[in-house]
Amino acid sequence: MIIEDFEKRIDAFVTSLSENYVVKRTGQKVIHDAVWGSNLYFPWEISLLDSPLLQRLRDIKQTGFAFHTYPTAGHSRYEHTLGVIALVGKIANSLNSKAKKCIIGKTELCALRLSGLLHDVGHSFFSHLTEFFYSRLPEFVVLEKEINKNYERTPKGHEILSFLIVRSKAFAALWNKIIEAYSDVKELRKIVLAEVAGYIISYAQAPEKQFMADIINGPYDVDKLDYLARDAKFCGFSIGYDFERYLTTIIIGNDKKSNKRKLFIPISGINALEQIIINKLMLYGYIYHHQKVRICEMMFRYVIHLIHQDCKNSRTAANVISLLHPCDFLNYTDSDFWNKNTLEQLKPDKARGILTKLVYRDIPKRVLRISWLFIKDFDPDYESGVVKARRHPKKERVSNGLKAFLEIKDNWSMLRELAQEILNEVPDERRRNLTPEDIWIDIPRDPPIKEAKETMIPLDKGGSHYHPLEDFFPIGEWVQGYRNSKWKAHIYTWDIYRKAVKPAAKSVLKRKFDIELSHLADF
Amino acid sequence: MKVINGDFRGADYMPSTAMKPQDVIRALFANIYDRKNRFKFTHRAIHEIFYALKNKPEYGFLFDEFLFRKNNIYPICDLLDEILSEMQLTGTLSKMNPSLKVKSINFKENTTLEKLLDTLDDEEKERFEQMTGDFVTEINARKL
Repeated sequence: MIIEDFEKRIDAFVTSLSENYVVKRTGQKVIHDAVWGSNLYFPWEISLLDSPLLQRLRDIKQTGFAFHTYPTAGHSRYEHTLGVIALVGKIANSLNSKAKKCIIGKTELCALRLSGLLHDVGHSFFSHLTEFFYSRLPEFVVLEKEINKNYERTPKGHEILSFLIVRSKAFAALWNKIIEAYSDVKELRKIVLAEVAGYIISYAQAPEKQFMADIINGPYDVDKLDYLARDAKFCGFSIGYDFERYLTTIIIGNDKKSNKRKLFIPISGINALEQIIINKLMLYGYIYHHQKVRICEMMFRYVIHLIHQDCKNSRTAANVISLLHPCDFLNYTDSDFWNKNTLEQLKPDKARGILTKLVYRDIPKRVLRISWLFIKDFDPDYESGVVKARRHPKKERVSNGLKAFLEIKDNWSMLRELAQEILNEVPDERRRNLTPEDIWIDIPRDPPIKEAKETMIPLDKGGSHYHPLEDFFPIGEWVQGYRNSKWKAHIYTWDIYRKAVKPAAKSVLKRKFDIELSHLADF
Repeated sequence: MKVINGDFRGADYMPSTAMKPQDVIRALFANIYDRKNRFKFTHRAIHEIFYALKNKPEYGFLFDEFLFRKNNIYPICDLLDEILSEMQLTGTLSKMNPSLKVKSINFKENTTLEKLLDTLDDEEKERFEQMTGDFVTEINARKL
């Protein structure tokens, strides 16, 4: 039932963007990219990229609010999509050139590239920032379970929406227009859209085709290869990984137990894999979990929360932005929020006020940092390695306190309660106009570095022996050590309230969670 | 009683007193904690064991929120990973020298265990204990 409901809504969304689109036959094109250089795109890909369904990705920033901290981080999902298509081509060429016979034929290549082209079509404004919100709405949680039941995969929110878009009747109609315009290209008729959609959620119906899904959505897929390079470049970081080594070492292996043909990196390619994992980790520290990026994202998430609550209560579409159902998020792109009309008419007033501050980068300042490193009497004991970095005379009490603190993350009402307690602690004479909504508490999630834990390295060509990457190098421990020291929760407020909020917040954290912070937390 | 995925999804749409998936894992670990005989597990082992437990109908009420994906060579649950990772962050779990591959419990979280047991009826408590036994049997069989 829930899938049918989503399908209906998705179909209406795709129809609205594609029914009037006239496919014009064109030639192949070279597109120049700042990351991957000049790349060739098939004519039908250009026609699809030119459609409004894909053009909307030009107006969705790849890295949410990173541009408020790194001004050049204005790259879009559209640019990323072009990069992903180019990488699919490079990987397919590499796999074919190493094999005795062609592994990825022309039809398969077209299907794979199409899957890469469409893998992010389900993104909504500010990318993962809004995905984080709609994928927690009750309807979406039920949908995720249905998808898991049917496909045994756990895709992210935007991947599920992309999957449903590609499987929709309206998209099939758009694809048929493309096929008609390029009727001489027989491979296009052989493409099965259900397969193309499946790859986006890492699903291949035939076990022998799982490697195709791995290329699009796997531990070291084209998506990751592009965003690692692109996000670093556009945020101004000189970090990278050895893409050439990656290309020359990837192989397709048979796993006898599951009967799957999967994409693997053998021992000779471990260096590239380590670089990819470490790069991802660094980008979390530098960009995605940067304290300024986090506060901007938190403010925007609160704006979305307020709009959603307003829509839920009024049950009308009177607001200039209407966000009730997860599919409603597809109707907007970044500039729908970044314009005069929205800044004048958005409801409720509180949401408009916060959005206005955000647009003009009037953002709260950090008051406190919270992590093991800043807990009083913490002894990092680095000499014996990060594995013992949990030494504290009251270890269990601190651990329980941190656990209780982490439990309120993502829950606006509990975060607001904590803000109220901090406010209550501020002496009357120092409060001025301070309200709980001037105190922002950000508790980030642990970065998901799945690759470090679940990557299996094949030891033989027969597909019987695999060992986890950690058997060769304790990369998981590096990851854990790095994030233990990089993970931080933050408390923010406006500049004028900082001196009043800091001691109050410290006092509440100590009383409520047994978290006693050292002076290092202040900086 | 049904375990609801609270902190990790839909946090604003559930009562704060509801039982959450992380409570099940933390309570299980507290229940089997033994200072002298610390149990150990690898990534593959823990995911395979919980996958098997989830598929037993009698434990469905505890593991409904744990969704497994099967695109790797063993089933993996991202929610379980997130919970274990958070337990490492708070210091409840740590990796053991010298291999750094296996994880072990550092101390017993009595409060979580009590919280879980308080919300279960007698039959559910019995099933929880039974599940704990199955878990220990599986872990021991792997001889890590």
